[in-house]
Amino acid sequence: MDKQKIVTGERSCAATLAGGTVESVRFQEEERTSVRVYEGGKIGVAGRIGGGDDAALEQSAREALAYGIPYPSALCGGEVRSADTRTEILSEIDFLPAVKKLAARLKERFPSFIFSNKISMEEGKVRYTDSAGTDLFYAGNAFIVSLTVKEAASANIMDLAYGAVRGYYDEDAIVSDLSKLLDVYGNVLALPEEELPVIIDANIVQYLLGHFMAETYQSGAGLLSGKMGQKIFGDETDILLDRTPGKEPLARFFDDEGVTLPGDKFYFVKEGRLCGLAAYRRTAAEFSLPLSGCGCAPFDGAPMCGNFSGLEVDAHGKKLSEAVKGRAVYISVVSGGDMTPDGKFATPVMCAYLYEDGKLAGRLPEFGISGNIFDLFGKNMLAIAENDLYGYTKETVLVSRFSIDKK
Amino acid sequence: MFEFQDGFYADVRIEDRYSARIRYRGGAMEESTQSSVKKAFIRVYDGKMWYYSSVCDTGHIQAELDKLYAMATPDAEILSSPVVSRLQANRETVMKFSDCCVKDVPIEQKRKLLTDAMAACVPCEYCKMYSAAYQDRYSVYEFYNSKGAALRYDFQVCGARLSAAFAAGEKTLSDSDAYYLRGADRLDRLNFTRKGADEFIAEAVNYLLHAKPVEAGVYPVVLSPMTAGVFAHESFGHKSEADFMIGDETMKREWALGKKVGADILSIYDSGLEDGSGYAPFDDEGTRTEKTYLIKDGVLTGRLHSAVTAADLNESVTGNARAVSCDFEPIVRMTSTVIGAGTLTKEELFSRIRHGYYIETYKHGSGMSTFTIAPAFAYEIVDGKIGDPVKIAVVSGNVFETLGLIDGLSDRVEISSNAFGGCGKMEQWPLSVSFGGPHVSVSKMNVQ
Repeated sequence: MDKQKIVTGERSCAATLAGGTVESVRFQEEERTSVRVYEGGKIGVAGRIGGGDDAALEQSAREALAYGIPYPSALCGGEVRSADTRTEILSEIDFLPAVKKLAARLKERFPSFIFSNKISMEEGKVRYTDSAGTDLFYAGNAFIVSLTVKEAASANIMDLAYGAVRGYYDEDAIVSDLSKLLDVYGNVLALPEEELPVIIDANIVQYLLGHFMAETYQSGAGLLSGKMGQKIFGDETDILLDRTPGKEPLARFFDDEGVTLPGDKFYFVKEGRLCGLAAYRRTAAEFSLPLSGCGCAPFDGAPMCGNFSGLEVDAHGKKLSEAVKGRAVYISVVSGGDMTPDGKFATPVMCAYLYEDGKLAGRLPEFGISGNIFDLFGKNMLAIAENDLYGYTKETVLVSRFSIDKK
Repeated sequence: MFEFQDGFYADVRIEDRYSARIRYRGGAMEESTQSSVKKAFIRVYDGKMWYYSSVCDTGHIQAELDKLYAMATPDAEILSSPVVSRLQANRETVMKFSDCCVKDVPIEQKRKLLTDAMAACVPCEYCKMYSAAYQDRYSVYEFYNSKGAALRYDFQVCGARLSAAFAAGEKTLSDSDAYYLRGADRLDRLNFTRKGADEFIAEAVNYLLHAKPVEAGVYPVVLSPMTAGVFAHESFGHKSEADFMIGDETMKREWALGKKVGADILSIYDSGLEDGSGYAPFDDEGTRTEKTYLIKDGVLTGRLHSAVTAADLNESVTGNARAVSCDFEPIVRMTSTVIGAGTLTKEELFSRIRHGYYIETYKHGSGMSTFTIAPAFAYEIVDGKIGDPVKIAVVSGNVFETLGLIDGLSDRVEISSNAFGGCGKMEQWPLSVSFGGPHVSVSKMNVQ
């Protein structure tokens, strides 16, 4: 009988800002243990939160084999690897005073704005072991800023958002990032008449993730079905999972089935060509595909496809300030966009700026944007770049020609 | 039960959660899980700050409570604080689902719901992939606070979903766009049937073969009861959550009770007392829930509160401090949010529109100053009748403007429950809520 065991430990402290003031602090600590057993082409799973008896947990997993859920048993090849990327960010004792100091500074520096939501510090540890001798361990920690920003004179719930997940804390850099957005917020400009490039978080590629999944692709009903090996985007477009330890503080280099990637990378799209599908052990075996490290599983459940941690659209080191000379429309906050079955992406834009020569020049009125996702990353694409407007938060942006739907 | 210290307010919430999950793809079972988890969430308030801890070992509650006390500063007058004086000390047991608990239903019976529905996909030549899922949850809550509260109550939700992907030549319809979904608080009310699955397949095939693109613009839009519910939730419900008003004089001025905020025919309420996935007899700080009219006849009449926000605005608690689980603190959330019925028949509502769009089902919605709904199945309305299916990415509008543009309500309200998703707010997702309304006609919405 093949066996897998995953132990996940998480610890966090989080402060809540309400109306610009720290109103609470929360401490969380949790350990989850999952055991999966494989026998006769079937899987049995059991999970536990907190401490307990591992033998009893394994027995529960053995009993779950009786459910008769088919699953290929394919353990890892005995790889032993460990990465601990944790750094000294702040002690738990220093965390609350630091956040209170930041909140007070934001209030003083940006008196026309109200800051709310969470600032937290998280630490995660995961160990995967299996009966083939595989032993994988990852530990990471991060300082996480997730702020909503509201202009004091506005009747909106929120006007802007600012977020960052970094392996260090830098109060000055956070304030500096926010100043780029807020110092010109009051300078309201008209939407330019001329057609300008649009700068938007490259994460809009998320709307395609379901279509990268092997089961969707193989059904023939996916937007990408039948396009393997074909050019679907522009030459500069690489879409991949990059799980190099430490690149994203909380992203581990193996998935929930202990799958690691060659060079810690897996490409879905390389130089614009569809070259890989998202698969976990079940679909990799079913469709004879390479493993992409996309296996995810709840602590008490069977694996499925859906682990896209480390997803990135590669900017190849290009900076936004180099990619866009002159003027562009910079999208800061969108409101719940989506895509039609034939690939038309559209979203209302709640907050946008005029971008001019590497800086935000002023805020634009609300409008909508749309475009076919293949064109946006293909013939209409001007660049994929690292957003060097910010010093603390990390973001890759797409620069492309969208239709602007004025209200 | 717990040793609460003088000079502080403290409470302890314990949830014992049973859940079952079943998944099939293409007729083969991929998951069948039943599990139980017990966790607790502890709060201490010293009049200035809240101190929280989440624990998964309920044997350590007192030790965690004592740790939080050690961080806080005692206040002899804590009981008279505007926040603490609003917190209730209810002592009650409300077990609503003891005689119909999903925990007592054999898992084979739950699986059969899915296998029966999946059989509808097999004969369809255009159906290229299908999957089905069942999920339920039964929770028993206990709540104790330093004012003497002692509560025990239960909550239950169950749901089933059939998703399918279709293709005909170059035309495709992915499984994220095409689904048949039902939710309820009891298995015998779920109504997830083979007949429903057959109707879903027929509608999806019609959509696949005949859906046409739309020209982006501003059009009259009719929302189905399910979509009207998500509209109410996203467009106005979130604006009614009073935590967005803390320390914000502009919001207090702009959202003064008595202000006209919508069309005369519009009433919206939130209630924890409705059957379904928004049911909650008490909120997560022990306050009894109630029916709160947010808008009555177009006028702002109420908002949703926790004890903190009620104190900040010098209003009364409404029982809307809720948390998705014992991992998190309660924050102001909706329960069941509903647009009240109008007087028109559904046919009369549609008959007034020469050209517009009907949004029947949706994929997701979101709402801040601009609300957005991403439709799944949508149709053209031509000369008062539902016409061809259309491909719409999103419909959206400014919350302030759109509430005033509602110009018709049908006479029958339907409320939708959901076991799979729920409401997301900041880090907390998904919270069990329900929403609904009648068919709602809006004279102008942005269609993209």
